[in-house]
Amino acid sequence: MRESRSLRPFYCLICAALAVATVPLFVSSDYFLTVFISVLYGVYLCICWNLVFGYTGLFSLCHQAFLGIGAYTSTVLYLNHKLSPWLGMFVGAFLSTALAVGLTFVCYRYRVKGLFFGIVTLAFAFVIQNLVMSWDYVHAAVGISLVQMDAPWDYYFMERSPYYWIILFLVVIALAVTFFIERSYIGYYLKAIREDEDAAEALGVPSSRYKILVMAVSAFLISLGGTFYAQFYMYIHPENVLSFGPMVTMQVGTMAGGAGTLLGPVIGWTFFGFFDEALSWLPIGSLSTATITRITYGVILMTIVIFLPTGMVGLAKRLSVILRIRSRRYSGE
Amino acid sequence: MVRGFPDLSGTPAARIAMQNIELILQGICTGIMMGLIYALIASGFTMILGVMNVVNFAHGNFVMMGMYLAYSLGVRFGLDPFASIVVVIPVMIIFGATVYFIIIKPIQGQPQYAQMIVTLGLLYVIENVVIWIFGGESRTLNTPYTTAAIALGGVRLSVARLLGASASLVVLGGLFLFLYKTDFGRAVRACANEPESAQGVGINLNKVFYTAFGIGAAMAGIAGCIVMPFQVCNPTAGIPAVLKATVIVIVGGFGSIPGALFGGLVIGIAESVTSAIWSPAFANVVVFSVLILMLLWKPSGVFSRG
Repeated sequence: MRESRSLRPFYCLICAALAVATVPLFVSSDYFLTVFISVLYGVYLCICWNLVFGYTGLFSLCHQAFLGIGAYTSTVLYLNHKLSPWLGMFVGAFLSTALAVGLTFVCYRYRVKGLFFGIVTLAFAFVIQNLVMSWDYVHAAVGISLVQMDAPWDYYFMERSPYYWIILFLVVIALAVTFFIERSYIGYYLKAIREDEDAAEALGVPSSRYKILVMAVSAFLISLGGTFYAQFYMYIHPENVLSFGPMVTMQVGTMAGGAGTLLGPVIGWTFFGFFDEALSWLPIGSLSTATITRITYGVILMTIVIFLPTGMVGLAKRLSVILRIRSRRYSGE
Repeated sequence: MVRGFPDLSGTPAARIAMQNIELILQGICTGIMMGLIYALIASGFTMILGVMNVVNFAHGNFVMMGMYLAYSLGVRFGLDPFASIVVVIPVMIIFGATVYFIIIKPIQGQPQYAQMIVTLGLLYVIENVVIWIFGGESRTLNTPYTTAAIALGGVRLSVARLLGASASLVVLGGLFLFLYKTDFGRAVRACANEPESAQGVGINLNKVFYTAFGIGAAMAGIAGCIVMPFQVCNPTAGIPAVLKATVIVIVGGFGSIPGALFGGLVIGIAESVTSAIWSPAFANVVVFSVLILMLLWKPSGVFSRG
């Protein structure tokens, strides 16, 4: 069955993005804009992780390390060397990419797959987090507070709307990358690797090369997100860019929406991002809210994996099939 | 000099060794004691892995639960952590069985990533429930023997660790007796080796799984109690513990209890010696390096069953 090669979904994406981009023109409340930005940020993380986990089946638990490396690199370069975060962002991204390539290559070279790969990436991320927490040059466990910068050319804006457009732009880029990878031969290779790597290799798919490629692309993108986080929230700390928290975000959003699909991460995290925010309206203290939110996410993650592994997109596909059968049955006779 | 063996006395390693011989001896002794305790944690982990092929990422958090249980009982009722073991065992067995029923059983047939995500979710939930109940700060429990030590030669043996190591030995011995001298233990081993054939001879796989998970959780809980007198406990202790257990299991071989003991000792000694000579932070790097080395050399472990 030949898949459609039209660019229609891509055009739809652009139109949707343009539509979404007009939101700041109507919404002037800083609070709502911040909510939208944080949701988009979460969506961005999920899309990046989806590339590696959903499409290629690599259980990478180190993406939060790349996030943190992006955030810390651009911030430290700005604070200590006055390098604009617009440039520092790429330095961080290249650093992350190099580490991702190195890690994946080592895992390929020593045939670390599946379960082992998850463990090694988890250990890697843990080591990075510990490294930063004990390294005074990056302020260790105190975190770095970004001072009020002045200018747009230092990746700082007084208003919220430019941040909104930046993160929206990043999301569109990531979705576009995913879209074009998915419909190209690379996408087929990645899916083959996910389904059965040995069989794919037997058919001639150079799995190592493409695993390294997808990890590199994903690390690069997620690093850019790290810099965005630093520049928007103005405070980075091993707890919010290097810990397991962002990884749970990625897992919940991607699994809930549907791993391995284009819109899965978007739908999944849009739902939970707003749910997260709604939870904070409950009349309990903020620490409790944060903790309860996290507990809820953990429970949701487990529930989804047990009951709905294909996520909301999978559910929607199943429903559409059922509806189609129903309509055919009723219209045919 | 031993004939044929290269003369290493001039190398940097030898120099460091000779300068720090006392530190190294101290490190080895502490390492053996800690290694036995790690072996306890790793045994539970490897048993769950061997019997039902499940990587329980939340195992470190089971240990952490044991620590907090010991802490609460100690603070509320003045119970010594070793006495709390009596309470912790049934609590953790029930908890383990419940976790198995709710979370692990439904995903038994599914691909490996499902089981990994589910246990990771459990890790996250337990960690945050503990934060919710106890807050995020670290806790310690002081006992009369927390700072006591026996001097033996040039080496100081911490009494708390000594007691802990002895308790580990007792529990591991009990586990050995259970697995090799009882009928049900034989059933457990059979399931670890050949689940289908075990079912074929009429062993109730479900009962075995429940028990294995419960026992694994209980051993983790006991380890948590043992460690409480000399360790600081905080909610984030789960991931480092489970990573250590994973390294030990990779060193010792999946599903192998003797392997867990061996691996535990290796990691314990390596960690202690590097802590003594360099720094505790460096010890983490060393453990990670052992992981890499094992994956390069023999991923199935030293005592692997192939």
